Amino acid sequence: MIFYLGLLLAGLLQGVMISLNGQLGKYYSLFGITLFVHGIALVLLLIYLLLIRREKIRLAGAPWYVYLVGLMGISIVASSSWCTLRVGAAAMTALSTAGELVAARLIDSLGLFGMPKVRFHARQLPGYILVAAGVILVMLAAKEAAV
Amino acid sequence: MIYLVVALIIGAANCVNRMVNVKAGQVFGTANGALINYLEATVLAIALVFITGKGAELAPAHLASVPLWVYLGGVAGLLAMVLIIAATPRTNAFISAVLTLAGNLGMSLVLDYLFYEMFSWKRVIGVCLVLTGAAWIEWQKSEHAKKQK
Repeated sequence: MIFYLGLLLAGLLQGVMISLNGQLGKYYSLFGITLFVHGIALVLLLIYLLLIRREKIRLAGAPWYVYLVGLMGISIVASSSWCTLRVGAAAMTALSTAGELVAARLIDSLGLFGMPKVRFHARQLPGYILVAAGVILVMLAAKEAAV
Repeated sequence: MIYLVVALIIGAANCVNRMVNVKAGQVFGTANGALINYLEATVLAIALVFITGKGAELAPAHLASVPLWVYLGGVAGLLAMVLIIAATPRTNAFISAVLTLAGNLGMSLVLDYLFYEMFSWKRVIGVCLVLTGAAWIEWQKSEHAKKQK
């Protein structure tokens, strides 16, 4: 039970993160936002690794594309803060969830990134229809708010 | 409209980013793998702030003028990651995905109202539909995985 609550709390914290990162945009440029979002976490992680775990930090020896994560992280944080400030965190999260589901479907169907291929099943279809309906409603609401 | 399309693309990028982060975790261990992401992003971000001519926003006077709580987003994200890593193996991937998404969307709706006074029933229903649909897809996936075992 405690773990269920932990997961729900994790989700709440993610919601807080998306909203606060959007708020940072009131004070900083897009790259300034990404600096604080990543820099603060970097300091906390360094404290954890060096002082608590006393681990030696390793940076070399991963496949080349692993070194693109930082660049991707920046693009994602900058663009999501930019969107959140304009459409709100809920619309941002709902739409990015839909994008994520479609990307995951493609990765599963094509077996990208060395993942095993998982075929599409008709039983999943109602899920995608519900998501699509939700996306349309969120978009309609955003359009009304913009007018 | 452009914001909504970008939001969809961000989701797809999130998915790819997660796969790559998992790979980094496999090679270096969870914390060390995450460190690469944050270290690289921090260095790039500092460079980009100066290249785009916004260096002035890193002046101490400006930093101090921003309310402290606004900076806590990164801390919340890190705490969330720790909770997910701790709780997911003790529940399962389906429960983990659905509960975190439910918490995330619920909190977003509340904070949108507090920060921007944004509220509309269409949005609430749309968000609930996305959550239900995502839960359905994750459920079918986990059923399928069980059968293959």
